[in-house]
Amino acid sequence: MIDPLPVVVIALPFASAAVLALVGSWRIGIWINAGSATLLLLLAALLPWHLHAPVPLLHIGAPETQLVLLTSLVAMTTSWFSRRDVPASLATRSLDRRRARLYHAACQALVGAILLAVLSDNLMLTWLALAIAIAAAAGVTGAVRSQAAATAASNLLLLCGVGLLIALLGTLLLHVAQEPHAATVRWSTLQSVPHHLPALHLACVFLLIGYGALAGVAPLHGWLPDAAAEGFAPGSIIVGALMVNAPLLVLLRLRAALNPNPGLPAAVLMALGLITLLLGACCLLASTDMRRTAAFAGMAQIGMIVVAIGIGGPAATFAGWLPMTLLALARASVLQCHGLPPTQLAAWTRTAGILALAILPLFALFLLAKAAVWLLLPLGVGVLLTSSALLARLPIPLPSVPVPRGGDLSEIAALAPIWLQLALVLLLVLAMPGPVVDWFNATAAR
Amino acid sequence: MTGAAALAAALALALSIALLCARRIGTAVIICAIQALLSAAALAALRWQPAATALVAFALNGIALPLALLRVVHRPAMSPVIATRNGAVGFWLAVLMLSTLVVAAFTQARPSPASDSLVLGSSIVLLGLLLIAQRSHPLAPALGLLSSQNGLLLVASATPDLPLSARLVVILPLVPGLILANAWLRQ
Repeated sequence: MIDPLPVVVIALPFASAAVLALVGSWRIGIWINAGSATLLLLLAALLPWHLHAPVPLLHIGAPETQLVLLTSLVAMTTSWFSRRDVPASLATRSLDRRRARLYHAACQALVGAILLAVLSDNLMLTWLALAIAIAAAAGVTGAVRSQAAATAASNLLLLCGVGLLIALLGTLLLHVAQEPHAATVRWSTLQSVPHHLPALHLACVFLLIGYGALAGVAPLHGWLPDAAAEGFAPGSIIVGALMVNAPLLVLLRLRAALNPNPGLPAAVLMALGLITLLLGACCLLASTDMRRTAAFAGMAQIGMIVVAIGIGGPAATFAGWLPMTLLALARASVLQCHGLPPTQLAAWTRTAGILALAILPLFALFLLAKAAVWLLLPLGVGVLLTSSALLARLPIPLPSVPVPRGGDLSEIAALAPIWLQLALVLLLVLAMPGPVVDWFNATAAR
Repeated sequence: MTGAAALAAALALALSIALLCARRIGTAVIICAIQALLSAAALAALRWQPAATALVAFALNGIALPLALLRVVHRPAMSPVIATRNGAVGFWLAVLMLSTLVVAAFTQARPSPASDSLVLGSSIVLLGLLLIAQRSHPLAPALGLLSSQNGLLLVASATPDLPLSARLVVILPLVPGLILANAWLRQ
């Protein structure tokens, strides 16, 4: 008996994308987008009661469910945020009706593709879902009418396209590495199927570099800051804060498959993670634009997460997986503050978001106990640079003219989703409930 | 039939090197189309099932995409000349040898009936990526990805028991198609 819930969770955004592509009115589009994202969150909230449900080609495990919940939550808050941003962009003519329709349809297709990539148990299906996600992400990024956005979309397509091709080569080599050859390679059985070890290592190196590009890991990371800074603001939240999580899950699955002989791929993973961390931290020092700052902070922390995945083991994976969740929430909060009217309340909300981003690197302290000696110096330098560069931006300065305190009903409605995300960050950092700790431990034990 | 497949794959690799040395974008597109024909020939020689997959692969990689590329090439704003990168040929060949050695070592450790196609295909993929890294022409990324797709076809032909869904993913040039569509729209 097939469980329909996971299928419905994946199909809903794709169906909404098809409807939004047909609906000409941007006003109706805004409400369909927000309604669909809210319904998706409600359905996704039921998934933890459907763990390991039997669905062909899908695998509903603990990390997958967690990412589905995270994706649908941020997609919902972003859709409500874009309810304010789309009319504002139409008024300033950076969007027109056709581009608003493209944005809404591509946004839902992107969310659907991310969910499919996360829940897929088949390597080829994951690859295909990420290819759809890249195409939709280019649509979302390039929706706004500017040369910089068009260039950012082209860069995204090119660098992620190269990553996809390298990942496809790795997937084919992984087929060759299986002993005996199986018709399909599945994520859920990758760890248990015997492999020819050198062949597995070579395939994994290609897969790590390929999917690493989609996660914004060096050396193919260049698309991420541009997409986050130049694209349409609500779209860049989905692209920058959510799309990178699906490839990170792939990296986690590959690292688990390499146990107990991680060998060269684990070293590659740690090296790429360190380079990304240091590169992101250095760019962060020079960045002046708030959206680019959030992108570089995210890049540095993705590097830290990749190092944690590379180190392996339950403690390090916990230290990578928890910041990944917090990072998505904190980055979304900072980016959703973009374009808010300059009031004291909005400035304090943005300050809280930056503070949340600044404390995340401290989770690397968990890594220091497990890391090799040679890792300590670059890891410590990267973490200190990232945190200090973010803390140096606080408090967010208010304009020199007197600004209102804020707090009217419309502003509170706009800020409520951001506060919800920041409250979740605070809860997970300071007082994580017991069942949530168990949940993260189950993920880390993979 | 593996001898014929290996010959076709070797010729496709030689065309990859020719692609890197091409000085006119129109010539490079034609080289890419011939490379797709050779890759499809290798698939046919290895008796890929169903037989139509080789035909579809050639129709897409060897006819449809090159024709679309030529349409973009002939637009007035597009330069017909590929910029020269002095001294880079030696570097490409060194990287080609290195990559071939790595994959050859891999296939020697794990021999299969079509391991030649695996080695040659992987080299073509990596050379295609080098063409992209060169950034010598606005259409170089689309050409490099198309050439890499041809290499992937050869790698897939050497992969035993590949399911039909995976074959379909490999023969459909999704990534080069996306890049080309983007280049088309931006022009």
